[in-house]
Amino acid sequence: MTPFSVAAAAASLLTALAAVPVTAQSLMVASPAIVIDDRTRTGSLTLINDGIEPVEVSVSAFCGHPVTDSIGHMFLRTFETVDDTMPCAARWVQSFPRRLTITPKSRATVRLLVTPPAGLPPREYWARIMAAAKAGQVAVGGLADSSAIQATLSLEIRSVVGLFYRKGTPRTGVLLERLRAGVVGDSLVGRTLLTRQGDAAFVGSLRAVLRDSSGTVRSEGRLPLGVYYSLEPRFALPVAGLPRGRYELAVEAVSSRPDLPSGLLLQTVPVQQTVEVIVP
Amino acid sequence: MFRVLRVTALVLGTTALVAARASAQNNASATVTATVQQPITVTKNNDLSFGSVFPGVNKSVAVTAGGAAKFTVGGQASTPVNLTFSLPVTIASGGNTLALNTWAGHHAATDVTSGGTTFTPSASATSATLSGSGALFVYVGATAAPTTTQAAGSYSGDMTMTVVYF
Amino acid sequence: MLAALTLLLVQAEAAGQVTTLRNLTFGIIPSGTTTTVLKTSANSAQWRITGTFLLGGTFALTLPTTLTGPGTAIPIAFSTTAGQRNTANNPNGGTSFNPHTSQPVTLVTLGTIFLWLGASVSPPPNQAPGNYGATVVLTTTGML
Repeated sequence: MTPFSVAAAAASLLTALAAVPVTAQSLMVASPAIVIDDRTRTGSLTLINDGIEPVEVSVSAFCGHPVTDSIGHMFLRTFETVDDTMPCAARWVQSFPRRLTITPKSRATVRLLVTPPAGLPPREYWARIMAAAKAGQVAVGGLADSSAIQATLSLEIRSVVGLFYRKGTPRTGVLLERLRAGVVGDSLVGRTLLTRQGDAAFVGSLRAVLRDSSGTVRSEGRLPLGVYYSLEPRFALPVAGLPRGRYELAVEAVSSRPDLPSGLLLQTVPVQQTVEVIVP
Repeated sequence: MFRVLRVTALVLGTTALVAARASAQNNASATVTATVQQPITVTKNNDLSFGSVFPGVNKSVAVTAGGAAKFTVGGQASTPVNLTFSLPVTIASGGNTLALNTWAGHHAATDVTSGGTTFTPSASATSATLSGSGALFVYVGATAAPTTTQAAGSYSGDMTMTVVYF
Repeated sequence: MLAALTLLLVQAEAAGQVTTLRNLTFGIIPSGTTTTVLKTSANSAQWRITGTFLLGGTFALTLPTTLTGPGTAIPIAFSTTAGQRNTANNPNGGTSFNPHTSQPVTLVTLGTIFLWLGASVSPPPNQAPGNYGATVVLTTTGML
């Protein structure tokens, strides 16, 4: 037997992750945000398995809130330990159950219970809820003539959504500052600084509208976001094909989001900033 | 004859009265309520598949290859999300390990493996935005690096993708 | 005979009474998928019919076809077995009925019938989030 054939024989016995048709497995989290008030202290998280295999799900809470990096991309800053100045509710959130198996094409509701410490000042407190779905062991086969050599890669998908615990009557607001924008390629790229007012996160949208000198809307966009402390997000509007000239960019922070019912969101007066931009 | 006729009239009259009262309707309403929310869906479409691997010969699966791992994220249109990954350095079979490295990623608003955004999957956040129809397609590839004396066996490991919604 | 006719008149005046015991509540539902409330669920609609019908009567449900709210109307569907009736307050017993058709009811003397109703809603993907609603009306008719 030549070295090559020996290697080939060895290879036939060694398979890593062979190509095996795998049916899609998915976890649907029914809401991107959960609001719990102090009167009931309970909420729920509906999880739906739209796949054809069971999924094992675990639910947990941690502290974190969105921030922006130096170029305006949002990411979640997480905290393993928090001090008393941070309004984090994760320590008080329990899920029932914490682990569950959801059968295919079915749904389950996880109850969330908040047990805050006594004497908690009224305001809004935040947490992140993570639903981790283990998509079952995937058996992968080797070559057709392999002798029962198997390899598996367990895939876990985690979805992280926001939780808001409201005690009393928290209020929110937002300050818009430092709006600036410029054309980059075929987009108008802008940034603005949003700073939360009040004692509750501003959860809403940043609407951007570009108008020409006649007031006609030439481009617009909407960025869903949550401002917990401050945020300086980057946004972009398509401007390909627009004539050269001066335009007005208006950016407005509004207490509405297309993915959340208005009843969940604390309302505040919209705030707006405008700036002149030039399309070269 | 006269008496029979009078009784009949009385019966008929009473019957009419009864019929009028007994056909009275009663009704009650029940409301139907529902609160619609936009769900977030993460679907694993494909596993990462290396196929046959030869000892001492690295085998790469590019994001454009049919064996690349594929995930689909669904949610509200044009929503920003973050992706983070926990990836195995090795997968194991008993006391034997098989090294994996050079992880590569690609995400796009349409189901394509080029022309979108390439990224290196890691624990650091990768920013992405769902498409105008609320979708994001993510592909992940890597390289398996078996040693020249790599033992046959069943190798396993864990891979995690976390999608963060703001 | 006159006494018998008088008794007939008194009994027919005690028409059925209908009480809504519970509304049909879907709660929070995700768009892009179908959510069903079973008639045996604690979220199903429930009514109670009490009274006396001499020779029986009917009940009928006026069913909505959509739920209305901040977005486009959402279709709601009631299967032919979405209704349940029972003389005991237990939706797991009794018999199923088609909520789209009028149903006979016979309550000889001071009887009670409980009714339950389930349904399914299917908001399309990207349905505008918010509260949606409709009304189901149960009507009874006594007949001689």
